[in-house]
Amino acid sequence: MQESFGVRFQRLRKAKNLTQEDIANKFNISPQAVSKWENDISYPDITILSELSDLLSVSLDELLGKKVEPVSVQQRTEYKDPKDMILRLVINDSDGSKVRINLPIGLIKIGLQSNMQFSGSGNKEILKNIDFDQIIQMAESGAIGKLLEIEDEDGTTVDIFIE
Amino acid sequence: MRVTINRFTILLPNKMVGYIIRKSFEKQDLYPDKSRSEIKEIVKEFQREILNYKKRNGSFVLLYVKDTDGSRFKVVI
Repeated sequence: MQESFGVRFQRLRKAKNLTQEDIANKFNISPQAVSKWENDISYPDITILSELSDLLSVSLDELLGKKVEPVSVQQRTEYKDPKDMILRLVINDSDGSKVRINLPIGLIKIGLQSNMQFSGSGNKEILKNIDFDQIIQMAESGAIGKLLEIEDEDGTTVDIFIE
Repeated sequence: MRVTINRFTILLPNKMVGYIIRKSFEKQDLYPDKSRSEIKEIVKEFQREILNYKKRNGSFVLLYVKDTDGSRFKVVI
């Protein structure tokens, strides 16, 4: 059964070692008025509720009997293994062509270990200055989402995501 | 492996992944200082990694290209 306002108010007042007189003096009202609150005959004016909750060291929700759900903290225990992540390259060329490349992170690592020349003559100019080593480090440290957005002079854009 | 060129789709054995990788290495000139046999070894590693990824995570689109003339090229592993 839900606790009435009067019962709750009395409980909170007593928990703070305050008398009905203390409350009455604080708000310039009679002790009888406070007694009426505790007997659910009348209720405090809405304009003093905030100050009342401060005096009783409770939140307004608690004073008014709204159930306060405990904060649930969910720990993130499962991080995706970097080797199961994908590096997604989205290249929108200035001429309108589109290229999407999805490379498992493991592939990039092999490429870096085998000294792949990303600056090879066949590669797009815009890709040559991307530090893939740093991108891998970011992926391994848990970064997910859009990591990079580059636009070159001719309007070609490259977006790099880790998913 | 599924290769789609415009409206045509070809199903190829996964062993052909290596071929695609080797061709892209050549086209992009990614290993200008390496010998043919060294590149062959790297291609094998790439192929192994791609297939292992697929085993763990399922099919994925390796490459999708849409040209200005509307032609499309897609490689699904």
